[in-house]
Amino acid sequence: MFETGTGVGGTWYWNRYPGARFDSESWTYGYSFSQELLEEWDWEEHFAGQPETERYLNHVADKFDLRCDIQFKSRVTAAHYQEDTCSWEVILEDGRRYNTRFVITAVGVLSAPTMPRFPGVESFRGQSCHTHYWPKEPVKFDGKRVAVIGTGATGVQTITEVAKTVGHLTVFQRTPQWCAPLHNGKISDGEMREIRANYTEIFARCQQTHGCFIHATDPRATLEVTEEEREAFWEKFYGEPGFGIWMGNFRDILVDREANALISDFVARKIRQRVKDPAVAEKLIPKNHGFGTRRVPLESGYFEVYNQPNIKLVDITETPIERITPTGIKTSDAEYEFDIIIYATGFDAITGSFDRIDIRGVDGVLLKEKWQDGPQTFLGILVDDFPNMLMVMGPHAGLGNFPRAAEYSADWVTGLIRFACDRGLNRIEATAAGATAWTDHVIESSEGLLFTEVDSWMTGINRNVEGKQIRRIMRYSGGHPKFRERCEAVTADGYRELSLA
Amino acid sequence: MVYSQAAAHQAWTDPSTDFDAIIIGAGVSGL
Repeated sequence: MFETGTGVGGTWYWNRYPGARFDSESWTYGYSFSQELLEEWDWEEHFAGQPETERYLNHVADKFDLRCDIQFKSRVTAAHYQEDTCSWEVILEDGRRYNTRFVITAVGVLSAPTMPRFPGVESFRGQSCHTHYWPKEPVKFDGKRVAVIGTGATGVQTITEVAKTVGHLTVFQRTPQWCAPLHNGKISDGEMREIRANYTEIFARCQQTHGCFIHATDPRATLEVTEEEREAFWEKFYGEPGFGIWMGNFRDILVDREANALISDFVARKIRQRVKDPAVAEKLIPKNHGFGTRRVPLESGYFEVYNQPNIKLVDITETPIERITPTGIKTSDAEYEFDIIIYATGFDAITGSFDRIDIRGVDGVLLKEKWQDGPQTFLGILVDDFPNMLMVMGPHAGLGNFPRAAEYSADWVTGLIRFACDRGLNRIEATAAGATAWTDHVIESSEGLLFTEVDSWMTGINRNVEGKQIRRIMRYSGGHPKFRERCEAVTADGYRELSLA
Repeated sequence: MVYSQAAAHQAWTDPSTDFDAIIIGAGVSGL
């Protein structure tokens, strides 16, 4: 296993910015494959912070003696398929080269950070950092003039934490988000005992839901209930921990415009109640997309931050950032001086980490070029013309509670490799017809979903990345139960849908 | 071909080693 970082954890190794934290319940996020692991690990918080999660993943690596198989500080820059040997040559940044029968990509969905394309970024003389590359050493904000650019899920967490100690904070916002309360809390010994006793039921429930979250969609339609019932239902969700308000809501809020407008109006009213200055509240209410059609950030006092006298919100759709200067940020109407600039400017999502590796299949075909009009995969795991390359949580996989989905994906990939080894197969590949059929199915499964009408990383948009300005269907929206059913059908049929040799 | 973890560990320094599988990434899905 090759890993760019000096430690395990991926997302939870890199993203050590202030406030980095789960939005999924910790006790649904851990690995489920080892009863012993479940028995011995106590989660401290219902939504663990980055340090706790990093400790957990290190514990996993130690417990299962994984480190001897991992080469750290080893960035893979290329992987080339060699038809004569039915193998891959994997090339590292430092020039090392290795041959392997199978190459398994576990490169993550949000692991290729992107900086804004403002001129002058390098000229800033203060401290600046993308949240993904946050230093391991603590950063002090006391008495400092700090800027945060970006108000996505990362920005929301960062802003809320930085605001606790900062001298003065200026938030540069392009797109406000429909944030909802996280309601995190410590897990008591008694709660942990109860969680442990119920792990079987917890994981079984996650397997049944669309996104592998603990929250199952309510079978009712929004307008099936009275206005009073609806308000009470949403009030309850707004007061409860986690993604319930997104994932456990009425079944039609993400497909029906009227239903979506009603839940959006409910959350907008909450923002107006929480933000004292009506003009600031309006800036924080999304106007170009409905609730849940982008990734919903969960927050812990985010809106109240804007009631602090030392916080300023700058809407860069009104006054765009023109450049980063040696002393701060220049917008179209003002020049701001800062000690620290934090870039919470997100990721080249889903395909970005693949694009950064020179992956070449049969006849040297470049994966990035093959996917230039959108990903084409079979089950989000295999790609035709790229034999023996298997993707764990690649494009066209279902998103959601990541470890739940990743465990299944890893198991399926392992099963396929075992099948190939047992039968002495040297070459496994998706067929072109199979990849086309799955890609068409992925596209069909997203039809009618309101998120497809919105620019976001989930529709492949990143204004800071060349060629990522057209909406694509990047993920499977048919739900994890259906996804697993399809994968299991392929297995049960002896993988005859693949090209095997 | 490499079949054991110990052998895999030894093999990193030998460029002629043929691995069964190489995983890219030691994050949640890689582990």
